[in-house]
Amino acid sequence: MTDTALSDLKILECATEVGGPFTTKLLADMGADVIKVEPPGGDHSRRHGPFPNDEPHLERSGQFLYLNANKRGITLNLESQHGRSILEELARSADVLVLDLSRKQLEEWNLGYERFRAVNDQLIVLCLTPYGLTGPYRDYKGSDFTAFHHGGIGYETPYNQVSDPENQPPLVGAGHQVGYLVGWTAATMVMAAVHHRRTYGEGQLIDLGTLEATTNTMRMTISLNTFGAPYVSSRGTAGGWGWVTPCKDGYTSVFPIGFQHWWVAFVRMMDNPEWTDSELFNTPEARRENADALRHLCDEWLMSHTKEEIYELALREGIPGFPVNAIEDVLHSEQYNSRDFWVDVDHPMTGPVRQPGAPAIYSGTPWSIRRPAPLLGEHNVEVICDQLGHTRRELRALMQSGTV
Amino acid sequence: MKNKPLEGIRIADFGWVYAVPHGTAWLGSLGAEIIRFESMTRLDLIRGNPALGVSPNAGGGFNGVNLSKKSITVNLGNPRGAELAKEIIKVSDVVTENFAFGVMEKFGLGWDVVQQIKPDAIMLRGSPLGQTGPEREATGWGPNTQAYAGLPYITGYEGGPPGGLGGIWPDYMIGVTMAFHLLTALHYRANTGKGQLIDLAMAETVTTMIPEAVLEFTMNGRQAKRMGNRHPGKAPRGVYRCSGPDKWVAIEVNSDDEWRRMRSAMGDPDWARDSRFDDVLGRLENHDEIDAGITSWTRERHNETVMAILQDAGIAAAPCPDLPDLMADPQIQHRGLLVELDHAEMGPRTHVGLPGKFSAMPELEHRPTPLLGEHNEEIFCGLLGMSRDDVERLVEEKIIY
Repeated sequence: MTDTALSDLKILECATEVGGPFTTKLLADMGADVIKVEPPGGDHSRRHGPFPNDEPHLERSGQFLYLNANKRGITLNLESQHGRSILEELARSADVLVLDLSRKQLEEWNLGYERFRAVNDQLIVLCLTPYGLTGPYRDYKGSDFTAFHHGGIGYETPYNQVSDPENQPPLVGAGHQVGYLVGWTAATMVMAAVHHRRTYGEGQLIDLGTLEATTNTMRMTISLNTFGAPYVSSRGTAGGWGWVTPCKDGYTSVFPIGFQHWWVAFVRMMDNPEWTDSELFNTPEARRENADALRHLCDEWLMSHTKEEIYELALREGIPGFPVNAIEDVLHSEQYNSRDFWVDVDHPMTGPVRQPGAPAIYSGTPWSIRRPAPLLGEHNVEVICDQLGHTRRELRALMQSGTV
Repeated sequence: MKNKPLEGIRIADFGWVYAVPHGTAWLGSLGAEIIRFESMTRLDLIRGNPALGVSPNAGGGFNGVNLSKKSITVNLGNPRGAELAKEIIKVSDVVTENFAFGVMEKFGLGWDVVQQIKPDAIMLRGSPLGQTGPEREATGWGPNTQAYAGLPYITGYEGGPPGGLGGIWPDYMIGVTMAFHLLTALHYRANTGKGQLIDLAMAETVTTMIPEAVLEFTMNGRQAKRMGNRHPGKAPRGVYRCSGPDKWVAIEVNSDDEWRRMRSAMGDPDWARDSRFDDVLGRLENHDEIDAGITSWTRERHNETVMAILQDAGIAAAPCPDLPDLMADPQIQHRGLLVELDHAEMGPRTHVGLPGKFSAMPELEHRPTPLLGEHNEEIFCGLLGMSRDDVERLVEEKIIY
């Protein structure tokens, strides 16, 4: 039996949709003991889907099942004072508490850090909000979609593919890129706080806004400018080279305008056409300046080669030439399958469902799924009765009164 | 100041370009000692090249990501350079790298060697598709690699081609994940004394962030379609033109109730009172018409005004800033993501720090990015105890180079 890296951590999660739940999934997948606290109506993600056979069902939502495997689940109504007391009881023996309530809700419901610190000064409390708990926008609403834009990535998307800015607005990355980014950022901050506790013997409050997590990834654009390069918007420039380039049977991702050694290999890949000798293309700067012309000239070769052909050749030459893969392509990737990337997670309500597995392979403490996502309130008895000491009768009354 | 939780941890950092450097910067700003191995024979691709008359220390690419670390120059291609590297690994806790496949092995610094030198070392290896498998030699930047993972195919305007994300996505995001993996492995090591190897394939990480699209296929055999800024279950959602050059606002309405509030916030225009729009199904069906109506309102206003009005009504609305607007954003300014550090060559400059706030570490001690080889003396004489003469000789022989 292999070890897990974080089995000594007990985590309480009161969060919904992507950001908070993904934070604790990252920790749970590395062995942490996570109790997910849902409102009696369930995490909103249960309504998101996708659903098998397109039949919506609160226990069969793909997004929920993915994000919440490896967790036990209870229900608590945090609008009720008693519900909040039960949360406090649980917090006494937890290492980390994750909350994604708004600043106003935290205040109104007396769920601020000080309350938890009073019962457990070793507790790490993570508060996730759209903009952070402080600042002029601290009470603003936000979503993964609005933050992708507000954080600056949207203005550069699709990169170097906007020729008509009036009719091609800033674009969001598909799915919930920002939600997943928040999960990674918050999980990293939680682990930093765990190390802090080991070094200094105390817990603390982590306050992370979705906006800053997003802008954190705009550091190249920002720093190029603060170190003296004039800012030029990538929108509406016919120049520049994007990350997606058409080819014979779809799209590829090549990059001939960068490093000289990549250009040399790219020329070789195209069988050394004469036009590549031109001064217009013989340095990275020149290629950037003449990217339009370059793209035009490369078109002939690109449009006569499939994405797989380009990928083969690029692999041989040691330059980028990745196919722009559809989901089916990724599912059938020999590379992914050789690394056992895909996992079939079994769940009592859906049967086995194939989904993405480990984001990285650890040799000593491998990623693992140990249990499927919980049914709504599945572990109420185990946690509220067996762990906290309430009787089954009490639990029933709490359920009937809407506290649980 | 209790803001160095990782004090005493040393990382032998062979990483370059964006991802690993961002990852190790997190640990450096948390107190770990990061020793970056650089070389004139293999300049970081985002440092300027002195051979072309450009200072290696002036550019924003390198300086945008290499906070809080030290730089030494070692010619790893020379066996004596590799020996120096081994001496540093011997006294380090972590080794990080993201070279092309086989490069570390070529230097004699692969995982088997690292384990021999330092049995409890943690080694993190970043690459586009991983250290194993038939396509392990694939090379490329993050934005190229994301194509393989399935993300651009589902991103784009409706009816348009796949779209690449901006912001050099996913490189910095991957850097964040690397910080997570290192902190996790360090936690396990602190508990058990055991190190391990972490093999990170960037494409695999990107695919773990599009599970909804994957499940759409594995559950129902359907490929998710490109939908621009829209959402299959919420309306209106989009990016709308505001007044001023190329200014836009992003708006998301999550319920019928929010729609009513938005209608009211726009001054209850006639077009919006159409009963077809009362429920989400009607709004989804008539999204084009609604978008035209919203645009007629936003077009005459600054995006910040639109944000203020809609936020006042409890609607998620945000501007779509270009770089100058982003840097001037009052919330970004307030939260202190941008920090001014005194760069040894370029003077005081705005650097991007780290996101979020720790109550027990209100100020992290970010250090400005290092000059090329700035810490040669400190590391070779200080850490390794070599004499000045020895170091000078190695510099002459282009080993420390």
